[in-house]
Parts: sequence; C-alpha cells; structure tokens
Amino acid sequence: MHNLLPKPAPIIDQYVIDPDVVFLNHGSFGACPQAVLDAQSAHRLAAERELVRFYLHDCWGKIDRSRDALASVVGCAPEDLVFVHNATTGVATVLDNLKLNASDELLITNCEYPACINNFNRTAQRTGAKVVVADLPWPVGSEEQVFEAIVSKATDRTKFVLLSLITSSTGIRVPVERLIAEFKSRGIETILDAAHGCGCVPMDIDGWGAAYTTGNAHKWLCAPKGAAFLHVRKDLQDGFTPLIVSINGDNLEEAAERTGRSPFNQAFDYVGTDDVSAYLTIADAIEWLEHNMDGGIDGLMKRNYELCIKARNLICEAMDCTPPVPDSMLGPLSTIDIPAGNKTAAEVKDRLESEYRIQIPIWGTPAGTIAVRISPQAYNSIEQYEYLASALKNILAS
Amino acid sequence: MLSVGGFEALPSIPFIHHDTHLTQGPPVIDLSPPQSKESLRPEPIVKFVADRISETARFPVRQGLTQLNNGSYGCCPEVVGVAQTELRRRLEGDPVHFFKYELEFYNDDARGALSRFINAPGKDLALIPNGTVAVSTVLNNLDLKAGDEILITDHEYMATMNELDKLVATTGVVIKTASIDFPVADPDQAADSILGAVTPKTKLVLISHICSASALVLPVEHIVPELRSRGIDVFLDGAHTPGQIPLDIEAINPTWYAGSCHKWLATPKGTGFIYTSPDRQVGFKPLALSCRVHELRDDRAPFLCDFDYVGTNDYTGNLVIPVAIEHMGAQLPGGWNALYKRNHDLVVAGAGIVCDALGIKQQIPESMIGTMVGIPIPGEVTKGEIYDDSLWDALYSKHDIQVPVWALPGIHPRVMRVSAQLYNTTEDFEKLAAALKIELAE
Repeated sequence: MHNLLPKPAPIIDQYVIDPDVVFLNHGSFGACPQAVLDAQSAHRLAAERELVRFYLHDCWGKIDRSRDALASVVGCAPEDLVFVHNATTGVATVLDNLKLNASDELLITNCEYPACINNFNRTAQRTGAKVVVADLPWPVGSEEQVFEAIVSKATDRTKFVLLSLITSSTGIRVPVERLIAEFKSRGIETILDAAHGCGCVPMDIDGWGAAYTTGNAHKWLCAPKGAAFLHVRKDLQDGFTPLIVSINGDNLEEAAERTGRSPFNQAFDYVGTDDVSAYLTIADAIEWLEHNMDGGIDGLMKRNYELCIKARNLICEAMDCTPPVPDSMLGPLSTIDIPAGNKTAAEVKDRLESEYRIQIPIWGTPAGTIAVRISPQAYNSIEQYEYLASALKNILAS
Repeated sequence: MLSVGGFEALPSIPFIHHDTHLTQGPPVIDLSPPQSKESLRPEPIVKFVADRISETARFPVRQGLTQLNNGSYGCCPEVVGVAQTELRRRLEGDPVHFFKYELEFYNDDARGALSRFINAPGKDLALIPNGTVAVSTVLNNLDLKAGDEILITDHEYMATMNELDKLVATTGVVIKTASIDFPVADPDQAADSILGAVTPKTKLVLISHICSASALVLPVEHIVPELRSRGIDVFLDGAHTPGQIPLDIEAINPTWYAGSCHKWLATPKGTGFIYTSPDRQVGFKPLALSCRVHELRDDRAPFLCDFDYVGTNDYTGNLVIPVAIEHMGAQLPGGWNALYKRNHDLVVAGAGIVCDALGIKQQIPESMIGTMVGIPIPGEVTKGEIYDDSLWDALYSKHDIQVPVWALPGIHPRVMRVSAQLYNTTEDFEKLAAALKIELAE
C-alpha cells in the first residue's frame, strides 16, 4: 500500500507512524519517535527496580532535569515550571486556584479550545463569574484586528483573560506580547494557553509576563503522551496548589526543605503515585530534537513554518481560494476553508481516509465551507500536501 | 441524603461550537468523537502477550535489594510492562485513530476484566490514575453544606486528610473521627467504634478498606450494610485492596469505592478506579473537563465518556489491567485465591519471625491481615537522611532492606509495615529480623 502513497520526509523512519497512513495531523495529539519512547521505557524500568527510593528520593533530580531542559525552550526560570499531564489539566488547575465572585468577568475568545471553554463554564457555574466571549475575525486581515477584537471586550469587571498562543482550530499566532502588556496595564491578568507552543513557535514566558502559562510537550516537542507544563509567575506561587493536594498538606514546607526545592515545585512533583515517566522523558525528547533536526529546535520551527506556508499556498491554489490568514500570523498550523460544492465535510473526511489514506482534520464551518487544518512536522513532505490537494480536488469535483 | 452537584448538560452560557446557529466567524474545529464503530475494534492487548501470560512473573526489583514494601508502590512484572510498551507503540502508529476510535475499546476491555475481578458492573467503573485522585474526585463531587458531618477513622491516609482539610475550608463540613485500636486490634472494636460515632448529621462515612500505615483490614462487610440501611453514604478507600484480598464490591455495596491497581494488581504506575453506584453517576465529573465533555452521546453514558478521556494523556497503564490480572492469576495453581493465601500466609509467618526477634507478641487477628502487617517498634521515629525514620534509613543503607518505619500520630509512636508479594520469601523476613536485632541493639 505505502508504495503508492507520497513519500514522507526521511526522518519518518525514526517515528512509529503507520506507513500505510498519510499522517497530516501532528497538531491534535503529536507523535513520538521510537528513541524517545525507548527513553521512557528506560525511565519506567529504572524506577521499577527501586520504587520506594524513586518516589521518595531519585525522582526529584530526574524531574528537575526535564524542568531545566524545558525552561530553556520556553524562556523561563526552571523553578517557576511544574509538570501536568496536559494543557487542559493546566487550565483547570489555574481556574481552581482563582478567587472569583459573581461580579467578576472572565474574557475568552471564540477560538479557545473546547476543553478550556468547558472548564471556564464550570468555574462560572461554581462562582457566579461571567464568561465574556470576544469574536475573532475570519478571515483575518491583520494583527491589529485581532488585538482590537479582544481588547474591546474588556471591562472594569474583567479579572482574567484566556488567550491561546496559537488557536487550535485556526492556527492563528495571537499577538500575546501586546495583549498581555495591554491587559496588565488595565489590571487584568492573562492565562496563556500554549497547548501549541513549545517546539511550535519561539516562546519567551518570562519576557511576556502572563500570570499563568500552560502548554503541551507531547505535541510539538514529540514527548510521550501526558507530558505538559504549567508556569506560574513567581508572585502568584504562594498557596497555588494542584487539583489534588496529595500528601503535601501542612507538611509541604518541611517536605520542600528536605528535598531542596520550592514548596510550589514540591506540591506538583508528587501528586499520588502516578506515571511520571512522560515528564522525565521531556529532557530526552528535547535532546533528540536538538541532535536530529537541522538547526535543532529553532531550525525545526523554521522548517515547519515554511512547509506550512508552502503547503497552504498550494492547497489554496488548487482549490482556487484566498489564504485566510496573513503569513506573519501563522506558525506551523494553518486552516483553510474551501467551497464545499455538493459535498459534506463528513463525506470528504471519510473519502480522504478510506480512498487516500490521509489522516487530517476536516470539518464543516458555520459558513457552509469545509475547513482543512494542516500541521506539518519534521516527518511531513511537500509531496504529501500535493497529494492532499489533488485528493481534495478529485473528491470535490466528483 | 447526599446529592451530587448536578449539571447534566454543560454549559449554562451559550457554547461556542461549529454547529451553533452562527453563519459566520472562524471555523472552530469539530472535536466530537464518533459513535463507536465495531469494525474498528483493535485486538485486545491481552492477546499480544497470550503466549507469555503463564510464564513465571519476572519482577524487576534490583538484585540484592530485600524489598519488603510492595504496599507503597507495588511492582510491575516484565510481561505487563511489555504489554504497556506495545500499546504505546500502537498509539504512536496513528495517534488520532487511537484517541478517536480505539481508546474506548481498550477502556472497555480493561473495565471488563476489572469488573469480573472486583465484582462490580463495568459501566459503574471510572478508570483514574490513583487512589488519591479518586478520593479528591469524589470529595469534589459532593454537595455538602456547613455543619454536615463526614465520619472517618484515625487510620486514614495522609492525602485523604489533606483533601478533607481543603473541603472543610471551602464548605464548612465537620470531620468526626472514630478510633481504631492498634496494635491490639479487634474487628468488633473497629465496627463498634465507627457505628457508634454516627450522628444524625453524618452524611458520609469515608473509611479505608485496608488502612495504609497500620495495614489493618477493616470489617467493611459488616459496617457498610449497617450504615447504608441508615441512609448514610459510604465511600471506601480501597487503595490497597485490589489484589491483596478478594474484593466483592456488589456484596459490600458502598456508594463509592476507590482502588489503586499498581500496588497489588501489579499494573504499571498510575492506575486505579472509582466505583460509583448508578444513582450517583449523573453529573459526576472528573477534576478537569475535556474537550468532549459537552458532547452527549446516545451510545455511552457521560460517566464513562468523561473519565475515559480527560485530555491527551497516557492511559496505557490502566489499559493493561487485563494483562496483569491474567498474568498474576497464572502464577500459582489455584489462581488468584492461591496467590492471596500464599502472600497472606507468608506475611503472617514473616511478621511472627520479626516479632520474635523483637521479643513481642503479634496481636493483630488474622481476619484483619491481608498481605501487610504493622509491627510496633520500640522508641519514637527520628527523621533519617533519606526516609521518615532513622531505622528505615539504617536498614536500607546498611542492610539493603527496604521496609518503611513511621509514626501513626495519636495511635502509636513507631510502626514498621511489612509486605509480602510473590517475589518475597521467608528468608527476606529472617534477614530483616537479624538486621533489626543489630540496629535496635545499638
């Protein structure tokens, strides 16, 4: 089968991806190379040899190894970073720590990830705070347009704003630097959802200054599943707790002193007996990317961005539509909405999967068009997107 | 009666989604999972290791270490680890396909195997990472008001106490504590103490099935029906139970039951479940809500959907529960019942050897012992460099014996908890007894 499919980039040999699938959806769940999975298995086995010592002693140094490695990728002090299993948990944890009342407003955009919206809705139900939604434009004309759309919805009751670094469904690189600064000047703190962040676009958490930043390492850093981080700005760490208190209650300070870390780190580094092997492997995933990608992670981000723009342009050309977002506002994800003709999105998706073996998100839009999201990673090639474009053309013309 | 904070259908504000009435705006992605497609059912993971199920379990405990503390973190045999690695490989073959289609089949397989093992309907089981998450999740779903009482015992796990402190601070509930005798233990005393502490304000009784630090098995078969007949909800913390003693949830009939599987079921770390009685499942939600939680399906209850996928995560530990149950059950002629008895008999004999060395009498009745025993140690705990007590440190660093020594605050100043799993032998306890003689003589 795979001999008939377009060739991916050669590095695919190091991944586990099914050769009979044209895998064009790195964005949803990421993909982890074999060498990194092997590193995870090695961490698990090392722990199993002496579990008591691991959970009460050895794990701290190993978690710190990943903390240090990740901090240098996302641009922050390592001690301000803790691990969670996914960005959804990161956002839920932040919400659980906020003091809110019925007169407060929480500002989000209509492009936030549905899990975040679900957790915001629950918080609103519990506290009486109101969720206000800013509508982002589509297509997007300029950065200024996005900035204005969000800022114009802030009121003097707005306490927190949720921003995506890159919107998951539309791939827009939101101008978070400007927005965070603008909101801060109005006394509004930002929760930054960088689910598509590290390894995706350059990050500078300390420079940007959001109150809270969460993101996944299992997407664009190719770490194993369940590897994500939560950054809490130093002035907000006192009393900040995980969703689960675990054994760290009144004795937290003492435990932290014994292990030589901050109470904030200590509280998150052990939340019940859990599989932390994905956390420990973040450092290995970063090392793997630095060694195997031309120009390391920086080079990879540039390569994926360029492939994304090229692929988007060729699909737009084949479909005779205009790119909906300026190049300067994209990372390695791009969504294109194309005229549906007489086809439904489900039909197109089914045929791409069954006839062309293409794995890619396709869905119907409110405007009646069909949306396609591309998210090229190291193992993707331009030939795969040429194949996608001709497949789309064939299906829509039939 | 206790009720769960109810919201069946999120959200109360208009939900932004692709199928809203909007005719313009950005294309917000469709993340809804499709209905189960039988044709996409993957091969059960237990089949992948079928020819290795009955091989002798190889536990990866470090050579030379006398590991007498299976109770804290368990130990996962090689075959189970191999199955987990295979699942991770399958996932990475096409992560989208795995999370959209295959995950719930694997979850159902795991629930099915667990369901038979603990005798509880699979549809009433949520798979979660550990007992602490289970306790926190149940407490978060309670709808209690200031003045309502939660009854516990003085043997509850520290993490449970911390979660209760948080609940007290946010809701004003009152915690009442029943005392359980130790080290002179008696099941009737335990039952009488718990039942005698119930008041008209008692809304929930939260007790361990097997206490963590003291290792006492509480007579829940007797206590729970009595409480339920009085209309009181019961939440059993069974973190140590699955695989340590036979478990029959239907017979015990608690409102909630929390279990960890990585201890005595020998699964990988980060595995466990919450049993929730059917009348409490509406609105019962995980601590974090996923992108699918608002998608009501007609082929699966929200209770299952919500816990089966809580964001992109590594669910493979729970998914190999069927492998662990079969592999451990194949170790002795007589299966799991023989394994329970083997480990129980070994720990009772082993505790006897240790007590002889200490010159004390073992005073816990066998009905309150599973595969762990708490043994009183002279003196008081003094912090060691690595562990909670200097004796724990000394046994580890000088004798390469791993066995915990801790205080039971308010109950006993210093207790050692010994465990017996398949990889342990009588010689392990003899080695411990000899080392204790040396260390306590100093």
